Amino acid sequence: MNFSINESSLSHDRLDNEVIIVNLETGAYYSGTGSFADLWTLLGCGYDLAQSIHILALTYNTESQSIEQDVQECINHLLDRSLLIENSASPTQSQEGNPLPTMVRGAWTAPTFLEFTDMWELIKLDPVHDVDDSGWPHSMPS
Amino acid sequence: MKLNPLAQQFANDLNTHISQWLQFHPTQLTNISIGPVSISLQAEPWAIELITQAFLCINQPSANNSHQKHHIIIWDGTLPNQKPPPKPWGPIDHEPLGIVKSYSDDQIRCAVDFETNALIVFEKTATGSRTLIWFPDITKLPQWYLASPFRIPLSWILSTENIQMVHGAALASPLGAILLAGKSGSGKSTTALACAFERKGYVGDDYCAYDVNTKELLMVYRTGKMTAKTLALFLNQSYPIKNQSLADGEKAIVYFSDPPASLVSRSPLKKILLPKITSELESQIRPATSQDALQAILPTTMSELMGGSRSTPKRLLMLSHAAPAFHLNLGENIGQLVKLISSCLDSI
Repeated sequence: MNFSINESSLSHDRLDNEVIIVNLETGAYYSGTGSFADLWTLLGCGYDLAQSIHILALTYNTESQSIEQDVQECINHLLDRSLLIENSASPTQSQEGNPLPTMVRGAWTAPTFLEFTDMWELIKLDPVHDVDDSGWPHSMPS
Repeated sequence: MKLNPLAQQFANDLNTHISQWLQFHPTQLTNISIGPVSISLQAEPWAIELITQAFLCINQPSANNSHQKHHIIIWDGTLPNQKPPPKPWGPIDHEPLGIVKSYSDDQIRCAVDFETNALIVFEKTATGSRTLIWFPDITKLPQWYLASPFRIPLSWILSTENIQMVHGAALASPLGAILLAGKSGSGKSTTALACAFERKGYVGDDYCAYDVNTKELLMVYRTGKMTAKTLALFLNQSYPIKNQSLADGEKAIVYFSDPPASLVSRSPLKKILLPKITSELESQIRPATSQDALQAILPTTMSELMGGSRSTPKRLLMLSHAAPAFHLNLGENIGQLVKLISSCLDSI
């Protein structure tokens, strides 16, 4: 199966071990590290599902079979949130090599990401954003 | 570059309108600087005086520097013939953030600023940018706006220079700067102002900018904004404070000058502090992760800047990785907090 990143709606970047993805239309943003950052990098480079699992297994020194379900579940979550688009056509050209950055990695853990959906809600705050009576400091310093 | 004919046509119409307006209205050019970026502001002289007071580095253009890369033209609608052309978009096309997507493209951004009802049309040019801002009535802009004007267009201009406007406060010593990041009400402004009133190096209380090229924090505004509660804490200090009556929705404003304050226009970023209000007496600092920093900086910055630009997440990610992050658990004792921050600045 072949997927592509929904580039028209997203801004996404990787720095070191961390990936950030912002949906510029909904204001939701997503952050993940480790195996998630690696999976996202592979998908962004055009690797299909089988190729991605193969490279991740090699990178994390484990068996493809043992990580297949983890990867598929993560991809399902990404599809649900329209961060990935499933392509009906097979890739015209097979990707080769390992594009993942060289770095120290621990044992394999399932790729997961944090989701924050309240970003655009913040703008509804008063522009001068007063702090209510529960604000700080609670009392005058002595 | 994807161009939208609607955006191009509206920008052309507005440029024509402005060119005609400029022929009949005497305007003044003033340059402001934010870090390495100089921007020329053009408006009627009385308006220039009103809307540039928040900037630290202001100078009159000379023959050598009358044309900056970035140019902002400001006019207002108090006279009938000063209104912009009718808005061609629908009544809710600028929701939810202010950007009118149907009239924007990779070169032009049309936006309505909800806070002031201003129309903003930003256009990248071959050499820099040109921004047209129309206010319904400049004389009625609230004090808090005059204390931090042009936040949205400045963020777009700085973005073209790989500089990110950040919703955060910043303090500095000769050794470097600390960024105080967190959503509104987290205590960053009060912390920054408490230190500024004690003559610690002040970069900003609400907005600053991060230069990705040099990893420096830049002052954007020399002002500090205070709620009634914060104002009560600082009534005894000697700085002149504007707008102390605090009408509904307003803030008291302090315009810092150096001296007596210690203002820092740019300083290398060395630490990121993530303030959080606690019920403890004493403030404490403990380690945080770059993910904590990103979570504190990104949502509030993007939402305050109409969603930012496509490269905003990347620059904020780089910012969050550029310096170690710490939680700053804020206690009640302001004096102890100032000492803690001083110690933090001295140990950079």
